[in-house]
Amino acid sequence: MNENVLLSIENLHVSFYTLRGVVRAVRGLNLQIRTGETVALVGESGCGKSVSAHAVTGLLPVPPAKIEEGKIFFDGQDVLQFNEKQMRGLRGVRVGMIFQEPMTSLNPVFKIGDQIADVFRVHHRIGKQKAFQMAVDLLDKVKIPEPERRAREYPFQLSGGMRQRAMIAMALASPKPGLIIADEPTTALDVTIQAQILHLLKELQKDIGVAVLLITHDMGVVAQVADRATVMYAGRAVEQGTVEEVFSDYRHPYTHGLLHSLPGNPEYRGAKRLIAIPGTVPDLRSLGNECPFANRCSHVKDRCWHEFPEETTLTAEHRFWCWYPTNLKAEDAHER
Amino acid sequence: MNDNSNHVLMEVQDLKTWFTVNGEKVLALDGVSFQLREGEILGVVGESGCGKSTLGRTILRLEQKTGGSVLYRGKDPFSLAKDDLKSFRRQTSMVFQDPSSSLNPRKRVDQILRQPLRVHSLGEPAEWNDRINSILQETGIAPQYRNRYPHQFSGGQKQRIGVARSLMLDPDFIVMDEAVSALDVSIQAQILNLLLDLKDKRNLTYLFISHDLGVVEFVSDRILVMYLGRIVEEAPTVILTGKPSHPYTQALLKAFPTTDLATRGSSISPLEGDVPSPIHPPSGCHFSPRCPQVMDRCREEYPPLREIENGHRVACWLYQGKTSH
Repeated sequence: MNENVLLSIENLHVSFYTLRGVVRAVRGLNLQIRTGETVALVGESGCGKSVSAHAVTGLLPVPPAKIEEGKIFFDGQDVLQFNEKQMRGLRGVRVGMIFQEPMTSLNPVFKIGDQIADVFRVHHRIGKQKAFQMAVDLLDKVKIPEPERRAREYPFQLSGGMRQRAMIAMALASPKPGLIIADEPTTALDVTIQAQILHLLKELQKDIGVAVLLITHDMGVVAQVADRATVMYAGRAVEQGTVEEVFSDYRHPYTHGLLHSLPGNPEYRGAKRLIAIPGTVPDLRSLGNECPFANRCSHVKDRCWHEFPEETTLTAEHRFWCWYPTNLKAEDAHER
Repeated sequence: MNDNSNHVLMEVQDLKTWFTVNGEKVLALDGVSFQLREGEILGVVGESGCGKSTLGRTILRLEQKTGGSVLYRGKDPFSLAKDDLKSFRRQTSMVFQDPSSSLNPRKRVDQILRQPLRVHSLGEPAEWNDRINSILQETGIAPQYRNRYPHQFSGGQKQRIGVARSLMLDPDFIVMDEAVSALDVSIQAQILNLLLDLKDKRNLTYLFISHDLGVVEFVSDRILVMYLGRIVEEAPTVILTGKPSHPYTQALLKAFPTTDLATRGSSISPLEGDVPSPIHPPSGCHFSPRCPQVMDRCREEYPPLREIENGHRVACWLYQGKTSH
């Protein structure tokens, strides 16, 4: 398990101190990413997936955010102990980022090629022209047609898909990218363009061996491209495993509910209604030590309201946090 | 499907809606023909800019058409006089994508739901309270919350209020324009079930517009696939998803990421290129620049929408040799 671990998040707790109370956004997240693999953090709005990713790159607004507890190791170094200068050596150098809406991540008043060239010039002592040429080559690598022309255009002149490609190019402009954090990278894109971007990420991963932390709400995207997945709900990881384990042998009632909320689920052929999860996500400010899914769970019993479940480990990768798991394979679930 | 599924509720012929943006013509809807049958859910699927929302708005006369015709129960909503138009407005309705921007933030739920009743002077004002309560109940909002403002509700609840508003005048036909797209999936499933329940209970007809193929496939009896202002394929849902014929439909189905691990990785074999602009659509078939099976003819002439089997129409030169049944 520990060999080739590139990023290790250990017992991460993040809270936001707001005027209306303390929002416990992430509670006790453990996550490891190995070189070259794709790990998904999946869940609905407010589950803490983006906050966890921002903690890695030191991009949380402090205050109101506060990392209460936990360690984050990148290549063996605890990044939470980094000063701003060390952090700059990580962010954009070893860890690249792609966000949902590339229009808001690119600077609207500079040409695409210049923005990427700037990244090269931060890392290498090279002239403007040389850097621009390297930017053009990189745009070509991320398969932007007519890269020479596009490099001289502004972000608004590119389509959404091309802007996302430009963002990926920028993430790759550093001399030694190790990890790309992709926060809902295809959510704003049409489905055929989404397929292109996912394909590109996969190819680049094969080429340069970069690891990807994929933050998404889309279980379909996870099933298609991730190696491992962590399902989060209301600040907690509820289930974690390889994609096969999480999608075909899930134990947590929320994982079950999330998969059955999707009308495209193959189990629904000919069905008239979906098996929906009732109710809504609880207010994160009012949560104590109960299981946060208790108010929507069909398996809920008294214990769930008092104690967050202990971790149950099924395989080297597969673990879940539930007192009364759904038992796809009944014998395993009752062993405990 | 329903027993009365053969009654045509709406007949759309060669409908065109063009806009002018910065002096340039945008062919948002460029010659669309189809029938909507009473009691069915007709899905409309396509990517941004394909004209699906413009279609939904134009057939309700929320946009001015540029050409073609719409007949709703035999009458053209574009040539109705004032009273008849008001009756058309009562029979038809719409649910929008984003409940936060389609509910007036300064009005209480009660006022939002009362307004259509007032505008149409439907029934006795004394009965309006009961009506609002019963429709709120039907859509899953506790009536005691009727004096709250939209921001005091969650996204899913807001969309329930949007649905309640669409039902206030007892319509027959509702356009669902990305009605569940802004919601988290667990909430989306709740609202989809609600829409299906309401449809059955009230014998409604829906035009269900969405970019999400999984959603459209689940709810629709039939599906229209649109690309750049035109219908490229139309078929009953089972046929469209089981035997997609247009290369664009095939690409769309393939690109849609499902949770079926048997298809793992397959949805990322991409269709090349971007959707072209509806301001300068490509000559010939609009899909030709991206089509893996493109032929010379495709670049010159737009293929007609032609029936290749019962109820299955395709606009593609690959199928023009085949006779219709």
